[in-house]
Amino acid sequence: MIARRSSSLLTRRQWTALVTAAPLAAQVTSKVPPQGAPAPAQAPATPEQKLQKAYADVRGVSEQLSKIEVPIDIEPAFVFRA
Amino acid sequence: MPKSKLDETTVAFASISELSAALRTRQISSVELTKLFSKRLEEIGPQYNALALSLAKEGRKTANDVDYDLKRKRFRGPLQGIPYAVKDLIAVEKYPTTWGAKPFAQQVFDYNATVVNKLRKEQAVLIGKLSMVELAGGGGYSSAAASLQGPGLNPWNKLYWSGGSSSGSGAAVAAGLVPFALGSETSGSIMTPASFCGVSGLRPTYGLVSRHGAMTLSWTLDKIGVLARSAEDCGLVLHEIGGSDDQDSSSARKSFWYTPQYRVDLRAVRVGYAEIDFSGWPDEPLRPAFQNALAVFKSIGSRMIETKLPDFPYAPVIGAIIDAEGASVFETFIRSGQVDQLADQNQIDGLKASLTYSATDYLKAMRVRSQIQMAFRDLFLQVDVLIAPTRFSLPDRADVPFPETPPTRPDQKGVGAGFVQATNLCGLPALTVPCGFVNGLPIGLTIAAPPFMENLILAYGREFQNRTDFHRQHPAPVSI
Repeated sequence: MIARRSSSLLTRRQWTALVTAAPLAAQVTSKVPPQGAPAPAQAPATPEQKLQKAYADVRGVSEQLSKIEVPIDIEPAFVFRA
Repeated sequence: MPKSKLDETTVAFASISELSAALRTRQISSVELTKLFSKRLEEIGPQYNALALSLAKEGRKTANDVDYDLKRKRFRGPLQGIPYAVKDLIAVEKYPTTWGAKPFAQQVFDYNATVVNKLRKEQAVLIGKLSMVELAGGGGYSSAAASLQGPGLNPWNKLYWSGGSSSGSGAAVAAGLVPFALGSETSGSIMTPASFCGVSGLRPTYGLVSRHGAMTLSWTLDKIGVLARSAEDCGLVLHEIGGSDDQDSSSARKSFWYTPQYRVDLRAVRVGYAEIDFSGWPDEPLRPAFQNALAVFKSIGSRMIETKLPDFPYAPVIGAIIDAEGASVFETFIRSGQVDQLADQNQIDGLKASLTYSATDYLKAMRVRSQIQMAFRDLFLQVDVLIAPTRFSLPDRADVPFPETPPTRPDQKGVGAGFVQATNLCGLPALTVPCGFVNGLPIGLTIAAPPFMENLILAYGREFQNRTDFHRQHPAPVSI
């Protein structure tokens, strides 16, 4: 149930690609580069390269999450409403 | 065409209240109404790739029952006798529920989704199932063609996408094929098609509407909501589908009563917004229309407070949560190789890659989500609602892959950037209403509020629609 891929708002993977291509800021103030920034990598050509890019995107998200500092007493969300 | 005195276009684009009044005063029968909308859905729906399955025969049976009851003045709620359709991830007993995906084309459930049963109880008339982006977009898709029915086409201009993932729901309401439709949202899938198609879309608070019988993509984010002609109609439908359900463990166990009769003094309400969302973030051709919409909103007289969203990396956080939960939901499907039958290669690759998220990644995202929720609770001490453009661009073309390179946006952020992701992470209710047209395509304005404040955002939607007529406009009628 995800809205994707309109040029108005970036998709998760677009964001990820942009964010991981930029210097990662600590904590939650990481600054997403301007949305007009060039794509960080050339469009993959082969199916295998596309698949590898998808894996790289996941690693990118993982890396970015790992750099967010969360206080030790913060528990995961157990209630999914603010 | 019905034998009634009402002409087809008038009926096709009438509101629920208008149709309900016509039914009760016997200007039209439910069978006539059902025939009219079923015919439109069957004949016009495919022109927009909006129809997944017609349930016209079933609808006729229900409509007969309705007419029997109406004749005897056995009145139920305002949805009695009103045709509707559901996104094809909502189970309807004994009929295919494809989730928009070829590998599930033959899937049949032996039970109804709770929302279908609730609407059946009110004698709303289910006449069809509507197309959607396959698996609701789990994995990430690269073009409008990622659907079993083909690309969702926009009734305002078929060259453009109707939005996703509730593509058929948006198009069907916009084209006058149903008075209302159910859709679902994990992150933008109601708001986007509603905005692109120029209809009103309501995404309820997480847990307010049962998801029992609906496809799961993300246990902690999925919501079922409404696409309809107006905020008023969204409220009428939510009144019937909202509420507790023992069959849905995520149910908030809250009731919802649509109460437009209890008027809120909107002048006392604090509205958080950012000028830059209307003047700087939208694509240049959209800015005058959005600025006009903001001016109309300001004319309501609420206390407008310039604000911005708390600064968090919303996109990777929600991305990790959807990917990790989706990978778990579809693990067998992915590992079995069935995933390769999906239409969109990006989704195939994305779902495969999503299996590699670690528990640490997922829990980190959920811990940041906690922080985001806390920050929003603080924000809602300063404002009561938030508004922003629903999308900053017009829909993409339906016939080519979505652009790889996004447009340039300002560095300065307001409310709109990350709004969809943030409000979904916080389970907040949101309403999008049509707020203008650019190059013949509609644009939308989103109003969001703290959990369970649906009546407040609906009050704003009604007030905005009292002051504008964008929601009354419709694409050039297609006669059948």
